[in-house]
Amino acid sequence: MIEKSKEKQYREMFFAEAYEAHEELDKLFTVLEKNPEDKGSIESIFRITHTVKGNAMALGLDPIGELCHTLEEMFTYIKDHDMKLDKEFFGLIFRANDKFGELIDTLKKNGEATYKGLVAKLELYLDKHFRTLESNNVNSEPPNSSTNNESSQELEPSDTEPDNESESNQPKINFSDQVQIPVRKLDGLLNLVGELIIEKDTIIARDQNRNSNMYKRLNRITSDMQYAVMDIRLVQVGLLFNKFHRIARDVAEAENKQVNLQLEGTEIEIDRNILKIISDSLVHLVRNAISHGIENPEERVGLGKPQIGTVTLNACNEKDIVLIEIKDDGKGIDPEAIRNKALERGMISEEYASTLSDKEVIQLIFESGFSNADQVTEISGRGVGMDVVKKATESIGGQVNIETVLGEGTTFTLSLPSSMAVKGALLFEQDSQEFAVPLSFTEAVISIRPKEIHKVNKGLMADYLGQTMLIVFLKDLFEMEGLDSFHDNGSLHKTFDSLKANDENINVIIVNYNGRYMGLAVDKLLQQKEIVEKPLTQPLDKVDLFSGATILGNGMVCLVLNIASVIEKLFSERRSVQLSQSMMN
Amino acid sequence: MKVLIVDDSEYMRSQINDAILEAGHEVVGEAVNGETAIDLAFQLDPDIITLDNILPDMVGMDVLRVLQKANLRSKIIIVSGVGMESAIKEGLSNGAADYIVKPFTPQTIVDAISKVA
Repeated sequence: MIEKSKEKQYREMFFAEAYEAHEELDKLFTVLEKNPEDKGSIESIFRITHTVKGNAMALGLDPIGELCHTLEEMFTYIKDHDMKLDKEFFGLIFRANDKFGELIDTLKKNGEATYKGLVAKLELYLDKHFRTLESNNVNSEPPNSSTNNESSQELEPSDTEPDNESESNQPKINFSDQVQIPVRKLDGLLNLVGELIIEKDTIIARDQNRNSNMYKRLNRITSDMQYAVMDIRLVQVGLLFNKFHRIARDVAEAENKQVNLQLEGTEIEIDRNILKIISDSLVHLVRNAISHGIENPEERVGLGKPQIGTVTLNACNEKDIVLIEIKDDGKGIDPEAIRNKALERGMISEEYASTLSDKEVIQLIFESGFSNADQVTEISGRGVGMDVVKKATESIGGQVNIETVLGEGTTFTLSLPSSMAVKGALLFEQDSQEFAVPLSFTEAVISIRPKEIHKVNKGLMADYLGQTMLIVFLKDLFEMEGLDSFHDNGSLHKTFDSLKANDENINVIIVNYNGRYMGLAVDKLLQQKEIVEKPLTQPLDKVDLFSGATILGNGMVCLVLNIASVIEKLFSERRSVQLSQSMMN
Repeated sequence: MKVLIVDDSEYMRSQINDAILEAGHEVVGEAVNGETAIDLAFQLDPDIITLDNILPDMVGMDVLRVLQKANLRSKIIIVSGVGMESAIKEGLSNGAADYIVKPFTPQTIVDAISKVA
């Protein structure tokens, strides 16, 4: 008898493994469908289904056991008899793997599982196509008989794994070198480390001997610890990328397209929670790439392109940032079509539309209200639009960029922080209070004389590296009731008007978001520092000027500016047509 | 009497449904394909299953064989557009409790249910 707690642990382990198996099977089935002769895949599928069946039966999870038993039998025939695999077969095994996933979810929650219908269908297929072979030269378990009864006997999950057989017959206990840890425990650990760092900064700041060796060591150790915890949370993007074999296959099949999915940079590591947050966005982008990007095979041939389209998922590192590219070699996005659609939907005025460059027009696809496509297909139109993709990415401090060439294809690039825990920030002072800007948004820090700043319409401009750039005094933003009131006449001129010509130079932080630059004039620049940003709680989370807060060494709360929302608002076309027009010239 | 209706035509399902309710029986589930039919047969443990013979994913005869082999206690009434003698024979020899040929009157269904129950 296994103890209750032990059994629970075993179940958790089993389900974790089963998820992996489920994913691996999707991938292997996709490979096999493209190349039905692939012995390696057949062998792997057989092994996986065999192992899962054994373990499931041992734990009394009969539905999974029976399903995998039937799959295992199918692949025994395929392995031993080179069976011909038809479309119906692949339809069935993909369905079976979906059911496998469903069963994992249901049984994990001790829910009631239905699966007999599908198993019956698989059995019928076996009967009609495979078991018609002479049964005496088929080396498989008795087909179809009492799948339930063998559960108790078939306990050794690795009994046929060849690598174990060569070893001695002595019973031997193997210990895995890996530990599985629930994500919530890691979240808890990360939180503690964040608080430890804040506490450490506070203690050091209060002490006169703040440069002592003891503190240096403490600093080093806490910083090493912080990186170690961040490192534990990293997972390879391949974990997510690999799920796309199946998604791409299903979308392509439904849309009658032919698509090859290429994965690159799967070994790049990123925080597990970040990966989770962007996973839906990635699904959306890949679906879009196939259903809107890739042309029909005939069309492609006519255009002189390879008949099979290519969608590439690529990950790479750039400093502290992970870039994920979703690239297709399809038809690209036509700016005219976007312009017309935006006009049709009343998102922009005719007059304004004519001032937009093609590049700016393409950006309109990220506006909410653009994506709910007129023809809602099952694949692409689920109400998740590009605006949702953008919001999800920005919620973790990332950015989405798009590059498209008509007739050649489109590339979406998500720039993501590799870790959510700690970010580099520039601290500055405004009205005797400290604030932070994440370094991911800062470009440069400059100092300019008041007379270099010019009033233009409602805003202020200055020259920076030969280009005109919008300058905003942060004080003006702070004094507004809300970000929306910046278009009130003169609201952005107040601080500037109070300056005298011979005043000191003004400190300007140049920030960039989605290719749009602006200078933020602040009172005083402080230092660059790594901060642990915490989200604001209600009702402060509604303040769009700030994205979060951190606690400084002196114990003070420091608000973190939300550059994305500031730039977004200032450049938002409907509200500030004139302002941004003058900006773009 | 708990009845499970299996038919891919909504029209047909509502016909059978009305007849069954009229006669004071209970419809515990409806299935539109073979897979769901088998799932529900196990899950709902109905007294009677009315089974269409041509379903989008399976033929009714296969569903019948699967259910017979599993020794479910449900009685199965095949409701089919195929009225050939040979088809009826095959159904009954595979364990169907009755065989109704479409089109039918509500009374036919009700009679069949009281007969096999």
